[in-house]
Amino acid sequence: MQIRHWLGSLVLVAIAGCKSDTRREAERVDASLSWVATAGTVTKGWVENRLPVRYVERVLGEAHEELARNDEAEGVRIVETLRDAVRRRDAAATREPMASLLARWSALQQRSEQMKSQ
Amino acid sequence: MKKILQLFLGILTAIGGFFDIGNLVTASQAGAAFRFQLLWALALGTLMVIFLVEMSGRFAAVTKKPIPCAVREHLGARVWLAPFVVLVVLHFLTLGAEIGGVAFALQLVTGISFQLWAIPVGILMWLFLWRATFDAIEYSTSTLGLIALCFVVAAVMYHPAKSDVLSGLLPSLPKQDAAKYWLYAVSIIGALIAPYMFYFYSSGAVEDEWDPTYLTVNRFVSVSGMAFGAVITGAVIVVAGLVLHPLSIGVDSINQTAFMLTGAFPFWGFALFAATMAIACVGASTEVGLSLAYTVAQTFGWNWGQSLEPKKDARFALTYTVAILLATLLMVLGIDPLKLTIYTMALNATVLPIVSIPFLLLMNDGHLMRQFRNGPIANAAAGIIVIISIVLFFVSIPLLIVGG
Repeated sequence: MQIRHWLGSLVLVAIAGCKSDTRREAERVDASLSWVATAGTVTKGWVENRLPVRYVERVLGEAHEELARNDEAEGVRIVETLRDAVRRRDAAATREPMASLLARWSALQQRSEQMKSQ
Repeated sequence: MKKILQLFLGILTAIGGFFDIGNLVTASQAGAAFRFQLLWALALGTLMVIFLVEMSGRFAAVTKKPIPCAVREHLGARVWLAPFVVLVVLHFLTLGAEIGGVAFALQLVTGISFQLWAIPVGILMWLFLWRATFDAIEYSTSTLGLIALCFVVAAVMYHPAKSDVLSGLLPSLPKQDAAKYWLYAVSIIGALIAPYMFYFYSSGAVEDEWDPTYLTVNRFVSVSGMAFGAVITGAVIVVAGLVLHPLSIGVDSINQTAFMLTGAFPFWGFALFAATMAIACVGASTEVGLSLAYTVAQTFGWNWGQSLEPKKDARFALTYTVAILLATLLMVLGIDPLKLTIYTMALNATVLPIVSIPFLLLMNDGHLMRQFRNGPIANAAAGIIVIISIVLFFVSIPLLIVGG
């Protein structure tokens, strides 16, 4: 009886833990959106002298890793360009990738809203 | 005059001691994901913690006994066993998260990994507890902890719409991500009613030799201190709601919160954030370390007291020494302080009935509390706390699995 009770609980936990493909995709889009926005915000903060460069480099590294984990190839490419610019301490070189990042953010935002309205 | 000074210091302690990594993380996540919609959870948790802290202070002032001793003596060692085990585990996890918070704040400023910082942080923490008296620890960390008021200033400077903030105080259902919404609500409450808070407060009152003449001081300190502390946490929700939410930034890493203040304080915002996090976590980790040692020493009937020299309460000092060492090791091994905090806050909510019900029973013991036992209002509040804590007991872990 006790074994059956525990098995029942385990099944419930497993069901709760299973996520549908749609939900997984929505989470992937939201995570990418979040890290694209983070990368853009910290780079802007560095260009405006509000954030220290070592912190920005660390966050861009983390964003790169998280975007790669979420198969967000376009975001990974843009963040790589940003990282190079920051590494060279070349604020002017961030302008173009920042514009691409903004465009990517808008596209991901639209996708996220679409998925939520479905 | 002495009472007025103690009242002021007590309120200061309550404000400074209220805010820690749990509040910072859960409030940032809630604001980032749901803007101001979860302010009601903060209001509910604050009301609960005000009642619990007031009762624990009253209990200490009337009985002059710490809670573990009283539960063991009056309800039996068996009744105390489960709360004791749960409290030790929770204190230990919270201590790890707080040490991780200090180390992470240092990583923000220096760029050196928090794993490396954990060792000097642990050593300094231990030295601080070893050398300082209870009052020195309490007042120094609390006074410095007022730096967290920078979040309140930032929240005002960001000009949130008053109607939006006020509507967040009314409970509402989520439009999407229901599991995440309820998980964050539970975590906010779990961060507010961390058991160490009222166990530490009660032991501190015994150390300060409170008697029934302190009941007014106790009432003022618990109400105003906790309410002001909640204002700081509320400000974090508002700031995250105004800075992170519009950009769709979710808080999956503490790094994603460190720029929240730079809009209000362009050149100091980042440093203020790191300083607030470091100081709040130093304050909380000393309190948690002491609270763990108090709980163990009071359970086994050892000598205890931060105002005693370590040689006079060697086992008490050894307890916090071992706890700090092991909690530091957790961080050295690379456990993410953010994840540890989230799990610990959800666990705080889960175990609330186990740690609070025996204490609430004693608050109604006429033999022990005499005319100071709970009245109808306090008992109604205790009843609501018990009901909410039982609900939290059943929902916290499933929510952590589904929404985490």
